[in-house]
Amino acid sequence: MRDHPITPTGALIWTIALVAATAGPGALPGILATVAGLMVAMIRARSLSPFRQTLRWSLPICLPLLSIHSLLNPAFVETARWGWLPFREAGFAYGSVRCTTIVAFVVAAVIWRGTTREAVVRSAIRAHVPTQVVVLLALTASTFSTIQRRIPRTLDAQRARGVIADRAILSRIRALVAVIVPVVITGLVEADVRAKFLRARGLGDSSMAVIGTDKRPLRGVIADASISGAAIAIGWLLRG
Amino acid sequence: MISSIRDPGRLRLRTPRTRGACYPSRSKNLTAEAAVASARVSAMDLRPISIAATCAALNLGLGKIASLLMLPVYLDAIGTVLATALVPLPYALATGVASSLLGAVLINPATPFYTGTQVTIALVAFLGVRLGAMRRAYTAAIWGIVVGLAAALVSAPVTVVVFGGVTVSNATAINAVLMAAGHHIWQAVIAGSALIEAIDKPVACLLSWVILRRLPARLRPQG
Repeated sequence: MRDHPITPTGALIWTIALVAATAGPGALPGILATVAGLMVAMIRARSLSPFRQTLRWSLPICLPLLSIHSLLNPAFVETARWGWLPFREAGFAYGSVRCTTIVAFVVAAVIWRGTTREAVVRSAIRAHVPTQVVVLLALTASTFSTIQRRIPRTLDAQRARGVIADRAILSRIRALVAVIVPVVITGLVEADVRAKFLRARGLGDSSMAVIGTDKRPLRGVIADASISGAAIAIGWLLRG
Repeated sequence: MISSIRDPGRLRLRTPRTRGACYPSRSKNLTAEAAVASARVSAMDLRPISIAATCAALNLGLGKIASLLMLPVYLDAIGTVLATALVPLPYALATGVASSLLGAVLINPATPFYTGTQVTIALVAFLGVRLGAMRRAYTAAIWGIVVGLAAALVSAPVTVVVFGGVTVSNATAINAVLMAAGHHIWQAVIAGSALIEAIDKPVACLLSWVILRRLPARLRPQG
């Protein structure tokens, strides 16, 4: 079993398929394309994590969206009333269509999470994306992980020093400064040092390639293209 | 290779597409002049790229501190504001765009739709830095309100058209209350976003001012 079965090319094609399926006014093709994409991602990853991640990201947007338009939005006419709670049918329909689109975008993001940073960088270089853009995106992703790890450590250190003493709002604002300033300054100093290291290793020197670009097996490319092509075709047929 | 070396401006465009090798050997024709020109390209480009990448990562990561401390701010633009002071404008714009695109995979799939907001924040913050707004705390706070209002105006259409008026939790609650009070969705979203951004962005600008004052001298912006 492969840990990261989704290739960047596959993810890109799936993203285009999902956006194309949800671009029109019809909600049904969007739903079907979304579900198809999620199923393929799940089957290829052999885990439920794409479903869980989709729910984790979709629910905080979709639940308020449906509630606001079916219950509160005065632009839609009230069609029923459950006790003190009004219900607006047109608002519910509008909210459902919006939710479908949002779920499709969420699925696209979840599919991208199935790729690896290295694979995306290799594909970007193969696709002749400018080196500066590739370096910027790769560095951002790696620095993000470093910052994520540093934040709890800095928070604990400041708590140990007594900076974060209680839960009063003023204390928390002081703590915000006490935690953010070291995290940011350390990050910026490291960025300066990292630039020197990268330069010392030859990055930016035009006579050197950034990293190696290995060939993908043709079978994988054909599999990605056929699955994605079939999904796009189904989406477009259902639109008609 | 020689033709590309003679024109340092074209160096990056002529990077060889060698497959299968980590570090292909240097060309025999790489002259000392070309090496200096190449080093200049590196020196000019890598530092701002590295700082811009860190600023983009800060945009994505610092929200965690606010949520851990249970403060009603998002701090998703500190990196962009800092970048406008530390690197040239194109890199500051790249900071905003990179954080929006990568945020979709790392934080929240909604972030790419707010790329225009990040670009606006970078442009307005850059103007503020140029006008000297980051020299004093109170001017930084006032300029933060300007940045916040600009960000609210740019993000409101996205929030209404793409997300049906739903955005981050605090603003959604305000939008819902305003809509329940009979306001139109556009009025509710613009008012809710402006209120939240008018708190968040001055905090971001004030924190940026504190950070810029405490930076080591070699990293501090000139002027």
